Amino acid sequence: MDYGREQLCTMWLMAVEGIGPRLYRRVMEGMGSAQAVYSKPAAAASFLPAKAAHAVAQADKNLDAVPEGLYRCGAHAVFLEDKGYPALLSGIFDPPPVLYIRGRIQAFMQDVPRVAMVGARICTRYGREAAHLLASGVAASGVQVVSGGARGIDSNAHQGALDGGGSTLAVLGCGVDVVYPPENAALFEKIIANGALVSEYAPGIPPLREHFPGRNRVISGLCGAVVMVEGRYKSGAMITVGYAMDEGREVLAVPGMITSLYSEGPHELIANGAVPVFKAEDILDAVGVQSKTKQEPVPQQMAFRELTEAEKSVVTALQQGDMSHDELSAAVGFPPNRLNSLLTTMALDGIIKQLPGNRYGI
Amino acid sequence: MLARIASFGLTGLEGYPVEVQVDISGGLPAFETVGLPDAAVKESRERVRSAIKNTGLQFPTQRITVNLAPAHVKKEGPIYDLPIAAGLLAATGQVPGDVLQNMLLLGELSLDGRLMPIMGVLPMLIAARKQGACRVVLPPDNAQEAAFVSGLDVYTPQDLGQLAKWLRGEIHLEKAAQSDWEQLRLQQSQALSDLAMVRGQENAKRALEIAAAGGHNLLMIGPPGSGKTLLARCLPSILPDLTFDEAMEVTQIHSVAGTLGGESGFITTRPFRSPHHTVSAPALTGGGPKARPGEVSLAHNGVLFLDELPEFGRDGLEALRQPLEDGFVTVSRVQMTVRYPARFMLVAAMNPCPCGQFGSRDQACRCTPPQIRRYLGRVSGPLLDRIDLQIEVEAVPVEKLEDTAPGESSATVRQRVNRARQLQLARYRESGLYCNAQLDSRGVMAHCRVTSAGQNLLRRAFSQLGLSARTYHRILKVARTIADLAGEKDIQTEHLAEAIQYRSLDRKYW
Repeated sequence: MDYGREQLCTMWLMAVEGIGPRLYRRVMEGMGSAQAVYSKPAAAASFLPAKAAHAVAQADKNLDAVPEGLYRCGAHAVFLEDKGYPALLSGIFDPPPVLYIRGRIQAFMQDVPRVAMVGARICTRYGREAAHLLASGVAASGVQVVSGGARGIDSNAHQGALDGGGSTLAVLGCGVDVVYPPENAALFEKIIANGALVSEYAPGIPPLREHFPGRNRVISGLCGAVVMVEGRYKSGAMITVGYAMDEGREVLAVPGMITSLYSEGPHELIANGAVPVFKAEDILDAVGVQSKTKQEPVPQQMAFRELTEAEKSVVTALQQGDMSHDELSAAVGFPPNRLNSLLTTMALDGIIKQLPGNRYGI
Repeated sequence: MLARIASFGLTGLEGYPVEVQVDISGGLPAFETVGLPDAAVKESRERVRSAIKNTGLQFPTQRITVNLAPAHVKKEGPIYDLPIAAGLLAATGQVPGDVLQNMLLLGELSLDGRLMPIMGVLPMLIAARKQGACRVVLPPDNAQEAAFVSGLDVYTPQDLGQLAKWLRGEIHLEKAAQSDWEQLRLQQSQALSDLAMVRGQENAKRALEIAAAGGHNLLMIGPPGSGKTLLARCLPSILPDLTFDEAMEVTQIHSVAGTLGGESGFITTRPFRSPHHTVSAPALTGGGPKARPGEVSLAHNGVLFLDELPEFGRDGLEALRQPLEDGFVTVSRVQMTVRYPARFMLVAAMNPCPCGQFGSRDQACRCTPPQIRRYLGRVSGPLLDRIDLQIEVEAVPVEKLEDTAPGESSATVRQRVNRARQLQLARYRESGLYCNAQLDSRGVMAHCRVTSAGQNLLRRAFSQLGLSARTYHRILKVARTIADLAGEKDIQTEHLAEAIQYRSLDRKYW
């Protein structure tokens, strides 16, 4: 893709360390164009704080650095002035002047309803399952799921959207060619094929701490509704929710157990008037989309095969909640050798799940 | 006058005869010791001089030369005090030399002439007996160690004066009594931790039983306070009884290391060693300038328990691989190369994550996935490969500790273990193995056949539970042991299904 000179200069300017959307707008108001800043950095200094002015003056004058980085990973730049730039995002307080898209550019440019699914990296199995279930539910009805590509809730939301046959956007706090966290490499490949990685940071920029609040503003900016799945009261996901409220977006929250630390954030939101989410349709209602999937209440669990008497007693015991091996053994009255061999076959048939800490659940 | 006294020396566990030659000649009074003595041997002359004087005997004011033959081997320790003193008495005619001729003397002297205990008596006596010795003089405190070497007459005089009187025929000394092996074993085995003390933890107890029955190494993963250490301590009590020969091996090693302790001086129960995680690699495998046995050898025929496995130094853990594979360690030092037996069961314990709460119901784990991966990664794959059973141990709530009735006693479990071991001994009689854990891949093929239903189960387990390929043989071996415990000739599907439960670390959720 060929970029005009003004676009090249915009990418150059945004790649200068210390220049964010706000300083960019300030210097643009003063100088009129990015080209002017590029050719007369000294003149731009009067519109910038000393440190940023110094960085602009010292910056490498190579205009091709960012486009080359984009080319190498097959990514493209989308500018605020472009026609396909998402309308919702351009309406926020400080929209990114340029975004780098790696993957299907149409997934980003098309005008589709979007929902952000956010949550903490450290989360419970319940949180992961809820994220996956809800994301696949909304994705199946044609809603795009937006999240942050991080561990925990984010990864499960992306995976859920992909499993639901939809597309998903991962907004990153680093360059689109940087795989962070590294274990998500395979997931990112799938996102590139069915959606896109989105970042306002130039290729090669590492995931720095200070990037993430900015990324969160893009996540909420892209979406009509934000769903808080799980997280402590003070977590990055709550920052995203804060942006969403400032921008007047719909806020939803997934209720959890009242004893769970990780549902602290969502419960606080519900108490303050956020819409509780019990099923994917609740989210679809918030963005005004009709459910396209047939009503399938609660995933069917017991339809696998005829259970033996022994297996039935295990299932009955586990219906009261997860149990440790000892508790289960006491509940069903089997010696450990019999119980162990039973548990293996039941786990293989998908009737029960093995959890960390020698615990079992259905 | 020249006197010759028979004594013994040790390299590692190998004894060799030493002849102590004492010569008294005219000239200026002097006391020379030759024959590569170390510092403790050189100091002998001071102890010998005082001991002889203080028991009312005569110390000659002439030129004394002591030679420890063979002269090319380095002699160490204070064990030659007694033979040197006896040689002096014989050379000066204070005791008759001919009585001493077929007698082996070992012992340290205190300045007042008493005989003090020494280290390494048992291996020396075993070697001496093989070479035909039949009369031995020892310090009284070493008598128990000698009591199980058959065919030896052991005399234990209290001090040098008593020895001299006995040699002159003035008094009568009783031969030390031979000990009764069975009785001693019964006495000592009562001191072991019993499985009945562990409340709950049925799964872990079952895994212990399997480990004991098949000689499998065991890794326990669980939060702090879940009872991993107590469980490990119970393992020796359900292992098959130590045979007399095994007890001999164990006692020899401990005799050399000086860790015998206790009144009996003879080890009849399986050793349990739990070195702290700051232990150095040489302390674990054996070493030091004198190539002393390390923890792996002290745990020979018993249990080596490594608590907090990931905290152990990488060097130490890697050094475990040879003994785990071969059953012995070779320790090479400047002065000597020694081979110590080291056939032990490894029992390791670790937390599931750095904070220890991963998977806990009551407390939240605060570790990030990379932290957990790094923590688990400290234990290398090759070491984990040698651990057949890997189980998770859950924390037992305090209120449950009081509720639950005591479980089976160790004695009951040991009966089942013994039966399973007997089956294995019969099966492997020709190949020289003695338990399932020792099977190599060819042995697994030959002895761990699986029915087609079992194959089916294994295939599904591998694809669904995320088990790794190298787990395959481990599962089969454990299944073989489970079948042995059940008294079954062939491995049934249920045995395989149970065995799969004991591979926690292979699960995907880590």
